[in-house]
Amino acid sequence: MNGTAGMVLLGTVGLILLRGVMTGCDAYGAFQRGAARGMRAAAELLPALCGMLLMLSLLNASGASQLIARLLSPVTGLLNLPETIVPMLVLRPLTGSGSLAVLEQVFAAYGPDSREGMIASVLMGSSETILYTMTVYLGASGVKRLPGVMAVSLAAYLAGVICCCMIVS
Amino acid sequence: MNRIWACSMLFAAALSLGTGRQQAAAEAMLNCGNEAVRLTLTLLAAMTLWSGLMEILTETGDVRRIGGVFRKAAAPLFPKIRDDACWEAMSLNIAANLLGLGNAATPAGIAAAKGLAAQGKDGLQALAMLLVINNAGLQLMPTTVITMRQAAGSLDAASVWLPTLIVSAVSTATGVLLMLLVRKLRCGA
Repeated sequence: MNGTAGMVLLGTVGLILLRGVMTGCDAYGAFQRGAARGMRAAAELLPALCGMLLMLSLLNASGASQLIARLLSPVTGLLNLPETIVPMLVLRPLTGSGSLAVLEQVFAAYGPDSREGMIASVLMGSSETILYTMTVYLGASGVKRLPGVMAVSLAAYLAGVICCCMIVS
Repeated sequence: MNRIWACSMLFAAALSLGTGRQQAAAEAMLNCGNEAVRLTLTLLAAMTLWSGLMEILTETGDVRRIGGVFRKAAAPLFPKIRDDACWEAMSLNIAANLLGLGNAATPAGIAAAKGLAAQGKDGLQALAMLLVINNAGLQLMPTTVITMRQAAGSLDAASVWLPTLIVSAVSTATGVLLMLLVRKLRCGA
């Protein structure tokens, strides 16, 4: 692990623990509570991940992914984006588990440190499942539609994608 | 999603039969359960560790404090919102998102959405901005991605930290500016 990145990680953890000690709160108890919640949330992802991987592996093995990627190649070429990232690009705003599944498959095919792996990692980490937040928050508040939000969010996502392709060499 | 899921697989199955790839497709299909379990294990590790660590910041009150900073900084983006309960929920939602605490962010976001929706036109305008910020996915540390990279044998798993932060800052800024523009156009008309 490279020096700065390791320092950022250790610094983050160090800062969290330092705050725990400074405020004199029950840090270990809090850790266990949060960890238990995280564990449950992750375990509950298995059915969705299985379904998404089923779809993705069929699309890949049948050649359908490559077909779609080739159809979109004029667009991806314009953005200097590897064709193999297309599934990630399309699925990221639609499904969280689906894009995690794509990320895993990109890592398996190209390695996490390849350009494909780096772009997929940055895209995954820097964006949100737009469809999910819209559905959950609008559904809960009973607001039928909020004009502009979807278009603005997708435009912001696209700006992120373009930025990502420029800074990941 | 339901439609996409079923139809794309039917298409894929037909395509693999048509192109003689049925063997490969069948193998891939049988393998996906294993793959899902392996991926879940990685996520289990990541989310157990980081949810635990971040929960400490909830306990120390720092999540609330970060939310307070957000409230001061973002007040101009949410004009005419005076209600303290709304601000509390909005701040908690943003702070939890920044720290990657999805479990805490969603209930706070729902509370904020309900509170804002009850405030008429100004509330809906604020809710639109809150959603755009949420949708841009700003997060200080992409812990899940870093752990997945580590598990996949990356030599420098955390190297994505800075690019990720830059990209999500760019898309957040783009989203906020565009939303302000939309607001201006709509109010001007």
